[in-house]
Amino acid sequence: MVEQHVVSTGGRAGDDLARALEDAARGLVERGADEDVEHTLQLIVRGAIHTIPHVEQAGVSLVERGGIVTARAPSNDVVRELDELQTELGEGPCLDSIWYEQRTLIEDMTQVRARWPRWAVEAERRGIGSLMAFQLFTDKGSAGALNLYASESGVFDEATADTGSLFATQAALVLHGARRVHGMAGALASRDLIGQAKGVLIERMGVGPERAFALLVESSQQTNIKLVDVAAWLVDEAQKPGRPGNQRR
Amino acid sequence: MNDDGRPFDPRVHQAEGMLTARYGVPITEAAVMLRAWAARGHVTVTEMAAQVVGTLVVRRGNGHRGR
Repeated sequence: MVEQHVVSTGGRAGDDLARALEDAARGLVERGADEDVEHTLQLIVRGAIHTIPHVEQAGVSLVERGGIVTARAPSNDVVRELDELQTELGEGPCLDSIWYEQRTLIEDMTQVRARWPRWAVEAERRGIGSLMAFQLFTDKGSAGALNLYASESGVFDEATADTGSLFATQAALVLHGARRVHGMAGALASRDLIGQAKGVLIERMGVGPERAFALLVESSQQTNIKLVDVAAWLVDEAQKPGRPGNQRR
Repeated sequence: MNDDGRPFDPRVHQAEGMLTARYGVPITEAAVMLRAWAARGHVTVTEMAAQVVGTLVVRRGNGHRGR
């Protein structure tokens, strides 16, 4: 169980904040935040709820290729619905944080109906009184935001938003690391597959490694299938028992 | 090294692919064969892979069709 370490708002708030963020950062690293992206997102969401004052629920919005915003690691169904609803409606504070503002603070949900008329009504209907959203990153073709929810209005203010912003900065760094590791693991797996496919072609076609790679590239271009998928198909096909030429010698 | 202990060398993967195509065995089994041959020949897996790839490529004329 994660130790609750909510920051106080008294005179020792600065010390408490530093300690809470330190604990949160250590927690993200020690609990294996770099192992996979989904696990990292869950740690970030749990960490935000336990660290930032008045936050009851949280989630991360990630924009994938094609501009689709997906709700990731939501702490409950309401968060999932409200995060997904923003994509459906094309409006909402999380989208604004992703694309236009580094942080969005809603102290009272009833006061933002003019800005997000359809989404704000749905949020109120689901019992949300306040919200903070922080941009996590913007890369080529992808972006993300950390969304923090509270049922009461008036619990989030600029001081809380500063705390959230500091947490989001650390979360963004950890998430960036996790995404890089994930990307590198994928690249390594692709490289292995392509190497094995080259080996299959070297054996079958009697060509050298360079020509084998050129054949893979040509096949990929002609079929409009990604190189790694062509390689995967070839390797998979070579392993099938009973294929002519695949009898054990 | 890879997570599974296989060295980072493109020739290792190529050799695995070649053995799979030649003997009709799964890639995992080809990797085991390669490792066993390396141990028997007192060479590293990378060196054995280089021999497997090099031998075949040289035998077939290094890039030209042999069949």
